[in-house]
Amino acid sequence: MTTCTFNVPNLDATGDTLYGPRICNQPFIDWAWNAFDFDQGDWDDGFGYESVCDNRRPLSRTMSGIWCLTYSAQNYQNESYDSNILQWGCRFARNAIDELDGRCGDGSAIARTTWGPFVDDRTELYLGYFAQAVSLRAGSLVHEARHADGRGHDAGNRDSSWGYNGAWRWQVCWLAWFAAVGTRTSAAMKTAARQRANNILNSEFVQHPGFNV
Amino acid sequence: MTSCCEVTGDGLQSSHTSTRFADSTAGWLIGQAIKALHAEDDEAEASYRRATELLGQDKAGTEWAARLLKEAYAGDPMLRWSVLHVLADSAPAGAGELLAYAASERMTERDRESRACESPRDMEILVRTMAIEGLTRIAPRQGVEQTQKQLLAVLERQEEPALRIEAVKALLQVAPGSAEMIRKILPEALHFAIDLKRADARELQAEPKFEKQITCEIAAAPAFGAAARAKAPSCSCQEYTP
Repeated sequence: MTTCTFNVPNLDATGDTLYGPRICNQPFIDWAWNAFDFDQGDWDDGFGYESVCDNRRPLSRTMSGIWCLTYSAQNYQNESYDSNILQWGCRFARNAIDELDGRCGDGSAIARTTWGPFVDDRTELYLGYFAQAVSLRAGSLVHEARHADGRGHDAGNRDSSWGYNGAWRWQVCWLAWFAAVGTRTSAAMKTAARQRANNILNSEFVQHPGFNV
Repeated sequence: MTSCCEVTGDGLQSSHTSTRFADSTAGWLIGQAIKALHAEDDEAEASYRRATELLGQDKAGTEWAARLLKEAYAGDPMLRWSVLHVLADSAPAGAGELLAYAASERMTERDRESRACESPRDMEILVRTMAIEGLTRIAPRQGVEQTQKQLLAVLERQEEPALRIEAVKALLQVAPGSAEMIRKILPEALHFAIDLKRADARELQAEPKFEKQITCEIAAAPAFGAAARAKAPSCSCQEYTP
């Protein structure tokens, strides 16, 4: 077992002051716990199993990412795949991700999804994930969900092009839609989402898509 | 001894250091502005405007922003991002220099061989992106010429391509006639940034083509704001309908 220290970031600046009280709702916690297949052993020993409403702990901060992914569309109950990704992002993520585990990590990645035959399919979230803004945590879940569905990157840790329709494109689309029409959030969460979408467009495609948002 | 199915994860200790916003008027105003910036209620926008107006008149505003940036350095990128956001919207004396400095800060080399998709380095890019965008926001107050100089300096010093593209966008926004100067500084491989289009997010689509066969799926979330006594929807498998 690895032990690590989480330096709790400023709660206002990450959006956890805004989202923390929202996740502290038993029906939501029960649903998210099962929908993303959390296990006690992956979230106890300081990760927050004993205090899910404590927004300084990784479990609460992960729940906030899920809340943002779930409720940011005005009419979030329309999850049709004929609509845009802000509508169906949560539906896709909860069905694609096999299980969500909180881990220390080695500092190189903020999350990692393992999938394929003869392996335990899982998505691990590391310390850097919990320090992100809430809206970026939601975007990262969309990215990892694309991997969990079986789509990896086709050019190292980048995608060859927009047309590849990979995890980077999906993350950009979710962040851009959130920034444009997301609701129940702050101005800062939207600005951070737009900037992160552009950072991805400008660095994670071998062939630049030719636009920013 | 553990049973066959017991999951054992990692252990975590939390360390909490509160930021000392209240040590000065300027620091307190930055703290209040950050709270308002990250709030959703009706009064947040007015509170943010008031706090940034007052901070803009405070001679110590930039000095305190610099101090907070330094104190927050380890592990709190969103606090630094927020301080820069507030600094840009308040524009106290010297804000442009601090934003240009923050935008030019050297990045560690990107590891393209790494298995990591997103890394903490991406948050450092986000912080510097805020600094560059901040320069465009203060341009009307500190002057276009001064801002153009600062952005050109960022373009020369900052080696991260994603940030150079941000600097190009900012330059063309502040001083649309900068294209020739940009061409002289940028390597040819990045010249496309001068003609980068701005897409409406609502035109972007991810094609929901799935790799795995879905036959049944997990139920949708409970209604927003459902009372705590309400029962969560069942997570058992439901028939898949596209």
